[in-house]
Amino acid sequence: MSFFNSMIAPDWKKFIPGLLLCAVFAFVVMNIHHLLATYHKADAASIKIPKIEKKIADLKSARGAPGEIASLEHQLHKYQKALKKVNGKVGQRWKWATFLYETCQFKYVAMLLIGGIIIRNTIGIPKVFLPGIGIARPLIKPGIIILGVHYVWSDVVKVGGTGLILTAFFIFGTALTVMYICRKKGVSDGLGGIMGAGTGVCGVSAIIATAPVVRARPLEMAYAIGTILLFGTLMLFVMPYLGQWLHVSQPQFGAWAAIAILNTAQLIAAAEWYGDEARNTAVLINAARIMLIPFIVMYTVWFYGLKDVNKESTGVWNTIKNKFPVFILGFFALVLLNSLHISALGGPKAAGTPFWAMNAVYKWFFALGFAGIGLSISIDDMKKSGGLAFLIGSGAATAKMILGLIAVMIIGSELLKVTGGH
Amino acid sequence: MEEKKSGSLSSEKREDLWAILLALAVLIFSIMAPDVVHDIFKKYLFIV
Repeated sequence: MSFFNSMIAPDWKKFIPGLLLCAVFAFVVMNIHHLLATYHKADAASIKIPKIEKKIADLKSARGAPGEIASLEHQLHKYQKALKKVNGKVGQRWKWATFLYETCQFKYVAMLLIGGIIIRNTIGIPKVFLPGIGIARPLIKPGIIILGVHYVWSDVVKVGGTGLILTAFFIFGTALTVMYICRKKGVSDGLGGIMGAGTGVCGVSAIIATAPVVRARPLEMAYAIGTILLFGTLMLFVMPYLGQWLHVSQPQFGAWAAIAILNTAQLIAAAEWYGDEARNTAVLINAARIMLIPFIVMYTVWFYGLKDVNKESTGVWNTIKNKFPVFILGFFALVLLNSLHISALGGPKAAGTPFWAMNAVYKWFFALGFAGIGLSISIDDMKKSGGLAFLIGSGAATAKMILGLIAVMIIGSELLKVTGGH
Repeated sequence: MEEKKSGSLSSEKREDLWAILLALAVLIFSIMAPDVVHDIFKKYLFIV
């Protein structure tokens, strides 16, 4: 019974106003996204329908391959359906929708993040909403679990394996570099330790996990978290545009973001912004990298040679048990179910099946989580970052981003692409 | 950061378990009525 009691926070009522605010914000933004997407599709359909009709007519008169004609007719039907949705006619244009949706990439992720930051830092958020906004961010986790229906075990072995090697190299390399430079420059073990762990893996989670081990002070934690959030926020907005400018493929972007962006929520946001394939790769590599959190804690203990900290924090089994992200087991359970190809469960593209229905839900969890992220980014909190540790941490994170880009360019798209069993 | 008391869950573990429970609930509803779940999240929640 005590287990069930501990599943509910004793002060759960304080989360309700903020959660409701995030739900309303997510609902409004998802509807704007839907509207833009619908008109953008209609705009594209309006241009493409005459071209496809001409192609079909040409192929029919030249007695072209029936397969090719059927495929074009299928495309034509889809475009006609998109146009019908807005009661449009061929030749009619909705350039504003294409400009916002395609050119500016103004999708639900960007609207929730940018809109949230603007709301938080201009009109402000009353204190009553803040606890609920904080609790909305982890709602990305059920979304990640549900995304498990997109993968099969061969993806986990291929992409997850490559990603695990890649991220392990960068995680421990960055952590070691930051801790070493911090020690050389006289930064305290507390700040150097959490900054090293934070810039190495998963940002805030790693800082919270290592803080008791290196006995970081609250102010040092605020510095480290401020640095990680500032860097992550910058990368979240810069990387999708940088990726497009550098013609980085979707799977490569997913892997690159998983190396460079430290916070899970910010990583998923950037990858989702870039596209579905990028998100699929990023989620899988993230699943692999967050399992390394217990090991970064042990690594920090080893680096600083800590012997007198309490046993519960440092015992190998206890560290793994306490710091292991349990929710990721749910993700792998769904990957396993999808890999078994159980016909009763279907797949994300098999209409009328359970996995197809689940596939419709995850974006709403993400939207709630992204609303929580946007509304919780306070510029005042970010100003807490600073000093030498900030420079070292940001320098190492920037180096990791550049080296990560080079690494994914060398590896190529094929090894990083999620097939979903197709 | 929430301190872990003996016998109780840390806030991160609680979040993880809730995430699993929510995903499980979605799976169960999707098995029971896939069309209803799909239509709610792909159609009815979009009012524009």
